[in-house]
Amino acid sequence: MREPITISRVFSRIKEYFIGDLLREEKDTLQYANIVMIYYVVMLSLTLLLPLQIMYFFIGQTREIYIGFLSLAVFLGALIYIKRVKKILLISNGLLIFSTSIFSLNMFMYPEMNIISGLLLACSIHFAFNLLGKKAGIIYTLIHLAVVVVNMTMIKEGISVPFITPIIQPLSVQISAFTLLFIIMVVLILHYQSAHKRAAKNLTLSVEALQISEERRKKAQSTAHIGVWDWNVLTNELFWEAETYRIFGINPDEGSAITTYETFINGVHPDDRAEMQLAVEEALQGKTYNVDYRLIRPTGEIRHVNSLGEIQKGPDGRIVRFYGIVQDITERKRAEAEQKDLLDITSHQNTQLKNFAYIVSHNIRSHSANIISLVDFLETAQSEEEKEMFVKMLKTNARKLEETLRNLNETITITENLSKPKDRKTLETEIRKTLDILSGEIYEHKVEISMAVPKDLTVNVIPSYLDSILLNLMSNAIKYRSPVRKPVIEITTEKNNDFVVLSVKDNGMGLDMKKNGSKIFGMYKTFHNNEDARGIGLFITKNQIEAMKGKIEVDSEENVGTTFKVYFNEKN
Amino acid sequence: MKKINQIYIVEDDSTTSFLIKRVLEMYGSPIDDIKIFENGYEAMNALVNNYETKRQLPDLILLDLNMPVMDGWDFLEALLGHGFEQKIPIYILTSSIDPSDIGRANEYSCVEGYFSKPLTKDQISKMLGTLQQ
Repeated sequence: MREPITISRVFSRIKEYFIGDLLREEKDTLQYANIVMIYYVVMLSLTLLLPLQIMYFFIGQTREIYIGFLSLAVFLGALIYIKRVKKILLISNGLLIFSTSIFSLNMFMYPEMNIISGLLLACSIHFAFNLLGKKAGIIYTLIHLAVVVVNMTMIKEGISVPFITPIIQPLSVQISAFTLLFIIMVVLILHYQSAHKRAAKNLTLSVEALQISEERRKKAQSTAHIGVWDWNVLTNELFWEAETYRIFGINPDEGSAITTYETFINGVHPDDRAEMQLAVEEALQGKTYNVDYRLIRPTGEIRHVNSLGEIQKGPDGRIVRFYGIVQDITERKRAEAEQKDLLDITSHQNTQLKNFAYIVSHNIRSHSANIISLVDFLETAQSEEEKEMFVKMLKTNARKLEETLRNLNETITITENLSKPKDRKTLETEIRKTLDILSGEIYEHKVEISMAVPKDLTVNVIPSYLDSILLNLMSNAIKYRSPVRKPVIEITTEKNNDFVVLSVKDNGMGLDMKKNGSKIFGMYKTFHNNEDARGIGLFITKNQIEAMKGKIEVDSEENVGTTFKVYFNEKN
Repeated sequence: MKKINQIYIVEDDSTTSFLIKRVLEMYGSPIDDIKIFENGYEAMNALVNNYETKRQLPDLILLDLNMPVMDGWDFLEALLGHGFEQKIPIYILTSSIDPSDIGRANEYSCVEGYFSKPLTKDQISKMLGTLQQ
């Protein structure tokens, strides 16, 4: 069953069809206000024009009407221009109004329009049917359409349009149409007001919510030490939030919120600057920006930070903005370092334990097994000669066993005495002392020593360990000399961050690093058939260096020579 | 029954190699030739030389693990890499009682057994018995 057509239904249909979307777009409140405004102006003009229409009816002059319409168009255009409206909702039942309005809108180069054209025509037709009956309705419609066609043709041909609408439009229809327009206007205004109120209320709520959320964000940021930065790449203005300033150790009151890229890069630790700049350049080329670096506060304090950022491009594809966060991760780094230290100690102790197990398993057992066998043989010896031989062998093995136990004891002592007192020693003097001890061998094998060590260079060491390390490295260099070359030992030093590095380079036999590189500092590892090789020296050297928180590196090539680098830790 | 003509002892400690030789002579059936090498490298050299000049290869190798220059493990690897046609049975004779060493040694197909020092009469008869079957 067809529902009866009522004014309210028609109105709501019209409203929904033409401006429903606009009413729902609450963010476009301002535009919406303008639409209502234009609508109101058009309506007002129409009402004002009514007397002109009536006047024309009596005077019969066309030109004045056009002047009236044109002035309306100019007024409308001026209003659009001043208000800078973005959308227009134009409601009218007169074709002339439309043409002039469209004309004026075009004249003002208006970009977008929603025009309810023919709407009021339809409305008036509807009312004609309802108020005058079916026959009159049809006649009204036909005449009206004829007028439209005639008007359009005449406009097209440039002929003045006779104003005949008032004659054929019964007053009742006109009044109904205008009443409808008036109602639409009032409803629209009321709706606008409530929408405006609602929007204002929402805005207040949003502002409050925003403030709370902002407070929460700031609280979270300051707790987690996260600061925001925002760099305008074009103007080189760098915005820093209060927390960012705090992280960099600059009082926000002293500096303005805006700083420059240079301020930032000056705050970065000099050792991290190059890497940092590279990361920024790469980020500007579109790479992910996620960097860890150190910064130095004005007080000299060093902090570790992590920074994440991304770029924003303008409509032309140029990078306009580079923004992100910076987080102080010093505490985390410290905890990580502590954990690593602990792990290092544990793994070091584990290695020690393995070494002990190895010594017990291979060396002590080897000697004790021999002793057991020898005792057996001794018991069943056939002659005095044999007996004597076994006793001699027993002595040798007992001596070896004792030596192994002494070595074991030595390594245990190194590991236990991690906190032996350190002393500052002049490296050059200590090296000369060592070379003095070895002077017999140096003379015997005609070893050439070239030494380039600053006379005033000191190292913070456990003195007895330094003696042992130097003696071991120098005597190794002589012991494993090449049989075909004149032995040359080069001793040099350099500074490397927190370390003083001592290099001892020889031109001796060398060894295959690929094969033996991992074993070189192992216990009881020997690589040459040398009578004196015990395979314990480098193992002890390494332990002593590590006990002083240093490290030792080796590089070697078979038949070319070997270089040992000892890193003395000057920080701890 | 297969006769054992030649045995290689690869051992760096002179006392140990002397004792092994002595125990073998005492308890084993007469063996013509016992050769002693101080490390894997020397033993490998002898093997390669004999192989290339088509001379006799040993019927058994007694191998120590911990030696200078070329240790027992490297010797086993070198032996694998060389690929002699005839399989030479190897007995590991070491002071190590580390289970991981035993496990590692058993991964080599040429390794027939694993003895920890000192070498005893029982071990020798077991070893020679297996070989002569």
